[in-house]
Amino acid sequence: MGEASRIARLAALDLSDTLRPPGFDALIVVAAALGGLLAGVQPLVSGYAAAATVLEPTLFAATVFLAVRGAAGVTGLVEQGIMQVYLSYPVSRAGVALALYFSRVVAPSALVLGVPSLVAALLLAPVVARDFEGFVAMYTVYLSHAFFYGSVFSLIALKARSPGTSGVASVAFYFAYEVLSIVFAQIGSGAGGGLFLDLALAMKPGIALYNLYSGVGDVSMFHVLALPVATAILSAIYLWYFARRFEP
Amino acid sequence: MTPPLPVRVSVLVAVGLLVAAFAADLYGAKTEAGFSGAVSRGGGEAVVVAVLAATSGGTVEMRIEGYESAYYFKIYGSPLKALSQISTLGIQLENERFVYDVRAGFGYGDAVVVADPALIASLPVLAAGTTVKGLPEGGEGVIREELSTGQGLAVIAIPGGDGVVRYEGVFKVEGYDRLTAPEALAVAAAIAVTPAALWAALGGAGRWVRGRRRG
Repeated sequence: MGEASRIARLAALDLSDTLRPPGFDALIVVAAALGGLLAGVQPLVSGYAAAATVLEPTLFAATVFLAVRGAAGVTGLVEQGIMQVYLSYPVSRAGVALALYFSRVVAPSALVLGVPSLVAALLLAPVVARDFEGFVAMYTVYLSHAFFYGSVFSLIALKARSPGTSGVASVAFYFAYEVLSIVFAQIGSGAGGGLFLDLALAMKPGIALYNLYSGVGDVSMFHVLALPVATAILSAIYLWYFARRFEP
Repeated sequence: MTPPLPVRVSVLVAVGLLVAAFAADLYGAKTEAGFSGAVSRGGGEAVVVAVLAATSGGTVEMRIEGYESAYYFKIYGSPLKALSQISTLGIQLENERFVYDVRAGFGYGDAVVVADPALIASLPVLAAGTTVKGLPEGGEGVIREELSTGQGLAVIAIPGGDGVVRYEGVFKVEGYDRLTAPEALAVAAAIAVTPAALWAALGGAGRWVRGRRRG
């Protein structure tokens, strides 16, 4: 069995803990039903609008899940000594980091955002089929936003080492991020644009892409791509930290 | 023993789809919305009547009367918000009113424009890149325009003799379609049953039942 295969097995093993019922199932069914409801009460006529309508509130659910079950779960692994077992598996440290990133950030984000999106896509199948590209683009951007939170929360968890501290610090980060984006948007709107409005839009790439599609405001690809690039950098830092600095 | 993730997810998708489809049938999107209003000049120089296809898209048809002269233009975003953002140029909106119908994804509103008459003539600068159209003389005109998602339309009118501009119209959503509740039921059943049947056929369900019996 090769290294890649062992990493995949480790990721699958840890994923069964991350997505264990009934917590995950309860969150998904509520998010799917309410996401579908939001898509059903408005006459959405484009794929990107359908996706944005569902994903904007669902991102909050994904963020809470990533903080509580994803990142805080990693500290739980350390506390219970399971991390030592993971690290004794014949896989490099970078491999374990990769497996945990997949099981604690990538897969939960994809599912928590993906299931409500799928429900909306099925409900509005004729509309989404006409603008499938816009639907997928919007999903991808929101997914990268969730990865951003997941990467930050994972770094917090590796430093905090306590599920409680990690969870609270992650929620504090999320709160500060949201408030700052609102403050920047308000200062920017008052000033008629400029750096603050650019920052506010870059912090919310889903809204930036929505505005780009609907032609509202002065939006460029910088606003859409800044956060995904930051996410890639943060993911690399997380993998490096876990492989080189982290002591379980 | 927990059912495998694909079985759980497919059941959750089916449940979500059923709830959404039945809720949409009971209180779902509508494809037509009527609107009307009257706005008095008050202390202003002109009035603005605005409509916005916020989350939907379609055709707006509006009859407007009681003006001395009027023109209209399309703009991306809310026209009333755009007008209120240029207050630094000496243009103020008063008695602003906006009504939003979430089931039609459409809103309409009006306001009194307080500004220098010369400035009012220059308002179309807001609609850079779009065509400004005039309404026929005689104090009565009809507007028929297509609006895409997020697009609004603003009518700037200088009221006639009695100082009141009246309007009424209808917004028709175009390009909207969704599954009906019976269709959603069929799709949900297929989504939920297929993976579960495959899992059962492979013996997983039997093992799950035996595992529960053992406690």
